[in-house]
Amino acid sequence: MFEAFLEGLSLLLRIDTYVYIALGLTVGMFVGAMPGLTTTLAVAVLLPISFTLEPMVGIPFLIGITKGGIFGGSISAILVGIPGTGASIATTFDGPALTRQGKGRKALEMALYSSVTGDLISDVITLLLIGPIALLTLLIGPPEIFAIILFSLVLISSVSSESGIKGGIAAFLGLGLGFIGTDATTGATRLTFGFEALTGGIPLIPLIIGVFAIPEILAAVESRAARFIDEHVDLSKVGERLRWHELRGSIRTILRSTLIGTGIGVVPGVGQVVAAFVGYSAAKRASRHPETFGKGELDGIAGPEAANNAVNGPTLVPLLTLGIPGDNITAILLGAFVAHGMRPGPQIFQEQGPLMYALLVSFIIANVMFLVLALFLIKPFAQAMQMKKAYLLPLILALAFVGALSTGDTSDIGIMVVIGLCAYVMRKAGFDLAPLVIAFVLAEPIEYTLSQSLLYAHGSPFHYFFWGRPIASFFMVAALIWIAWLTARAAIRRHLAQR
Amino acid sequence: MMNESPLWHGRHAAALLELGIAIVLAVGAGYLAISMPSFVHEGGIQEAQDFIRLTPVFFPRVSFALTSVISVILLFRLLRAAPGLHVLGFSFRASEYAGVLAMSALVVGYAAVLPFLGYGLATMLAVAATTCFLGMRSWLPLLAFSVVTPVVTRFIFERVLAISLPLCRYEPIAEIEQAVMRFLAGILIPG
Repeated sequence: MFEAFLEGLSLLLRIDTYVYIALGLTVGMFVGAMPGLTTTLAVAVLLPISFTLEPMVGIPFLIGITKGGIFGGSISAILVGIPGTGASIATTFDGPALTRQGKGRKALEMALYSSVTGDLISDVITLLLIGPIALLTLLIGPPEIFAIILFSLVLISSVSSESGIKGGIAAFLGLGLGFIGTDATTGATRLTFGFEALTGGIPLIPLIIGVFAIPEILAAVESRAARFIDEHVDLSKVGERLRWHELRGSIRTILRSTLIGTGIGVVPGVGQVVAAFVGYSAAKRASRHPETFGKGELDGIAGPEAANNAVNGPTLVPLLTLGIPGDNITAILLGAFVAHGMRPGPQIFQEQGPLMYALLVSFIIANVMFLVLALFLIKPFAQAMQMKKAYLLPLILALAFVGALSTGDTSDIGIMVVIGLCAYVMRKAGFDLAPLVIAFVLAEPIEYTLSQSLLYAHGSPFHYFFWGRPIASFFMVAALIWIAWLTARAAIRRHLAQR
Repeated sequence: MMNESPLWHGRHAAALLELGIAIVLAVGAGYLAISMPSFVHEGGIQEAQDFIRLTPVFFPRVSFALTSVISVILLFRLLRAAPGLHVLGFSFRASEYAGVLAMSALVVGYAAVLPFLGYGLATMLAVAATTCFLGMRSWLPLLAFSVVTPVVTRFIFERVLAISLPLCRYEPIAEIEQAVMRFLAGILIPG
């Protein structure tokens, strides 16, 4: 393990990795600062770029977009009270109040230092823990992996949607779409409906771009405003810089939120938004003057910002060790790994150990680069928030089409458009499509692991899963208990509402 | 009176949309689950099926059946939550979504013409139409943006990132596209 780590360090000695990280951070921050656009959109649209690069360059580029995007969202949250991304909603509680008090710059710098610290520490924890966890995952077999995937899908479906039922529909629909094409076990083709383009299955890139880019473009034209932000941002009134004693006063909050974000990041489906809210409320509860929260409190910035960024590193733990993406971004990253010929899962640290460690270290270095870059870029991006939609949306549309065309098959643009229009309608009806995409990428592992498990079961699957494989039975029982709890809770709520 | 408020209309539109999606998914996924054997083409390795004791029908059938069942549950919940929904005389106010419909048509049109016009020309037209649709009326910036966007994206993706993009089927235009790329590559890519 340690040899792989040392060998991986030599892979970091290349300039192009850092050039692309810087590019990713810049693009991510820019997109994050635009309230109508999300980091997922940027990662989805720019995913094909990573395919043309080596893994040691392409994957850090995507990670750079993610890191930059989460912080970028806090720029508009602080300056005008409009969160650029969902992860920065909690930042709007205190950010605009600080700006009104002439402390906008202090708030932005507090957000930056908290984000970088949270991300950096959680990345280091991830680096330290992922090797031993990867070794543990080698001890488990197909039944356990199937049970963990099932448990993760139940969690993701229940927490990502406003309704667990809609999450469940999205997940099973995603699985169904994932089964289209050639069956990997028997070689038979299914559900192609006579379309040659579907023989290899629905391609991942058009699906990802369709689900994440087209609905955002359409949602952006729902409002007739010419810009995402109409309010004028007066950067001459953002006040003075953050002082050391102010940062020192928030260090406990930053560390607390970092641990919260790290813990939440490991659990599939929960994500940055929840982490930010938990980080904010923990900071408020621990404060000696909780009454100042919501009225312009620097701890109210440090809490959510450290927590939402601390989610980044740990989300890679289930992805890299088990091949289970916990959110939209890691689902796209899984696509990037697969495109580079790597299948994240228990074997990846055995097969590609040095590369995996090199990637994890590059994510840590990206945080330091982010700190330097962001100090220069906050101001121009604060001004860019007022950019006209008439310039941004056509560019995103063109990039989305290039992304779909990167597969080399023009029929993929049709797949992207159909999926995109359906995704927009489903989003309007309150469906979160993260479970759909995650289930789609997990369809093949589910089919493979369950087929293998049933083979081992010799005709007695229930006895085999629940008595023969204790770890698998633990996760399956946990999934059943979770479903039962959600059903009971919904019934109790309905009952109380009727009284 | 309350029933005529925009909020009421909005909630009702969302409820009907949910209802529509639930019906489509319940029926569609149910049909796929039942008819799954007819959607599996001949071929495949019979020995593999015998060995794992699962046919290619099994997994899609289970996932579509569960999609259908959960959609039916959603359908019942929606109907129970909104009694009389079907008699309330909902009218979809298309004007609220006129922009979305126009943009959707634009996206579909862009996808339809791209295989024939190639990336460059189709993108130029799509960018011009989108920019104009989003309120840009000054013709000079509109023209410049529409021409520069496909040229720059094509150059970056084709020449720098080696992702080839389709050319126009009409050869004289395809030759112009290639000449522009060669010219830019000559200036910007040394050697």
